[in-house]
Amino acid sequence: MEYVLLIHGDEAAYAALDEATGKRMYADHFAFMDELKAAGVAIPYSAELDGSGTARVVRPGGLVTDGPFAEAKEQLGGFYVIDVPGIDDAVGWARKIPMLPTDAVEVRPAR
Amino acid sequence: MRYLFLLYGDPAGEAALSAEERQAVVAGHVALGRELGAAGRLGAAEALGGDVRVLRADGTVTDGPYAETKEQLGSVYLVDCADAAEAVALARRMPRSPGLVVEIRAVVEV
Amino acid sequence: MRVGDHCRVSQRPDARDGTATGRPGTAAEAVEQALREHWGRLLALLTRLLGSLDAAEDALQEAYATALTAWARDGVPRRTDAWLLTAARHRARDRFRREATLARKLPLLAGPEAVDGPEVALETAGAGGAEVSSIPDERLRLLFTCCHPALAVEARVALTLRLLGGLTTAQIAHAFLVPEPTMAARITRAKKKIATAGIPYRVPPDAELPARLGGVLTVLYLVFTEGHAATSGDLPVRRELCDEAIRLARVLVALMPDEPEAAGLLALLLLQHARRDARVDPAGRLVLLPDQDRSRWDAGQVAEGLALLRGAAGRAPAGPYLLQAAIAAEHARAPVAADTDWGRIAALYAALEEQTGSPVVRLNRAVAVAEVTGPAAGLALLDGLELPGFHLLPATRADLLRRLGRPAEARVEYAAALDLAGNAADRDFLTSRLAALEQD
Repeated sequence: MEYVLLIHGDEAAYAALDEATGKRMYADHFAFMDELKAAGVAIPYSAELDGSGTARVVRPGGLVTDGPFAEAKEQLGGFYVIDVPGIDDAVGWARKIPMLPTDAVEVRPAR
Repeated sequence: MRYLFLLYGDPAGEAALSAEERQAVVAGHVALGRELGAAGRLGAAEALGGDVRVLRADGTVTDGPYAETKEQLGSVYLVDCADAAEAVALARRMPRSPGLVVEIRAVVEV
Repeated sequence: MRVGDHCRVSQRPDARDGTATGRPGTAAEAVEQALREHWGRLLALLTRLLGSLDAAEDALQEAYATALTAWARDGVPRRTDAWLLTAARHRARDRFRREATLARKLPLLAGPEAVDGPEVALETAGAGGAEVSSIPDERLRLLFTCCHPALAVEARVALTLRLLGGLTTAQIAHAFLVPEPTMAARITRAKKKIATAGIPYRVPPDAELPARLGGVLTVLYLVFTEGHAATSGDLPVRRELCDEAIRLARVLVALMPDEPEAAGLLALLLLQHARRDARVDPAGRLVLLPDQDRSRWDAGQVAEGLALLRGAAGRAPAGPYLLQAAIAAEHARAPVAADTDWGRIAALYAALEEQTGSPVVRLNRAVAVAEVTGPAAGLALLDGLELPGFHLLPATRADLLRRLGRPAEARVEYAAALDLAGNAADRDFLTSRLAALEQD
């Protein structure tokens, strides 16, 4: 079954990372994906997202505003969709995602 | 360019839909998915289930929802769009469900 | 191991009034019957007595397990619910005495009844040969707790079926096409959330009641539509969902006789369920309402639904369930499709549309208006209506255009509908309509 792993984080904290740390986080994400592949877990989709400042919100009635829907310090930074048997497996894999102290991963089953 | 569409809605309102109304919303998503798929533009189209787990960096896991708000993330689409304007136009076409608000985020392409 | 897992799903006795219509042959059958009839009521009461849903469930589980051996050995008691309540109380009391420290740690639900302490509550409640009528019915509290808005809708549905319906986790998982461990985890976490969120075990105060009642009605309706959606194959568990929704709706109406929306929901479920044998043809395809063989409708359920509506009529402005039930009633009242009072139906849809603003309601209203005032009026109502992907919209437009003698436009709409139609029966119908147009 497919599970969507939504990575929420503090964009200011990510922006403040020095170049070496930033590179290491990217490397850790690639290592994460390698580990999934080695375990035979399919990753149908994954992506890093542009900052929340570039977001657009479309409301009923057609009004379009700039910026994210939720005004919060933590914003969605990226996601993975993985194929595993159950939600506990998905959470187990989520633990291996590289995270800053203020990050959180929201795990949702895809229907 | 790929865009992520985050569809927020009101779960209580959605639950209160009649069977026929729900059918209509589902039909709208099916049709949209079919159209985008035929055009080779569709990446993911996922309706998100109600079982939520939130994993914090310190390792604690709690049951959701992620945010205690009236609007909850109900589904996501990943779609190829020529530009932001096309993405906005697509967001306007999302099937209307109670409390629907669509957030569009551009994907960082490697 | 949960009681009921090893009991085969036996033929359910007529559950219309919730009492047994005959004594079952074996102890296992008696336990299965007692599970359905008494589980929710006993659980609700024990939860109030013990101040803990977990403790109540454990005690009741053990009582049912004990019943299996005791009734096989000693015979099935006349009052199975009183027997089970006594057994559960003894279990709980023994456990408290054995595990005094543990009892203090059990999650307590807020409520004045818990102040005295569970032991006192156990002693005083139903003391001495409890008769059925004197066992208080606390199911309303349990129902409102299970349907609390803090829980995700899926969790509310699962919890309601498990705690009030007494369905096993396996049965619920099967009904919703979800793996059993997933359903078990969903239910467990929902109960934990009730405890940690301090959700009070009570019927909501008057100010909150209308919204909260709406939430309960929604859950029951979701259970029903889940069961109703199964047409071909007619899996027993899915049919049981309809029966369960109706049974719980009956409980709700009995416990809240002054709530017209509760009566409205029950009437709606009965009127829809009454058509179950006429909804599907021998080939397993859906038969539209106007084409159904009305002699196959369950006359008893139709009568009950209509009676409920008569009782609820005029009591406060009608809410969405009452309105939907009234519409279903108009269809049910007509001995043949041609006798349908479309004028009344159009008015009801107008009232419903005013409340919900739903485009689907507008579509149905247009169909009714066309029957009364003519296809042009119906078509006008569909102007600007958007229901992307929903084949019934272009199909309806096509039909109205055909009746208006505008075949070229009708053809376009039939083609659009065909493009969207999901299943073979719909496509066949639309294709034949298109073909008939060609012949004109």
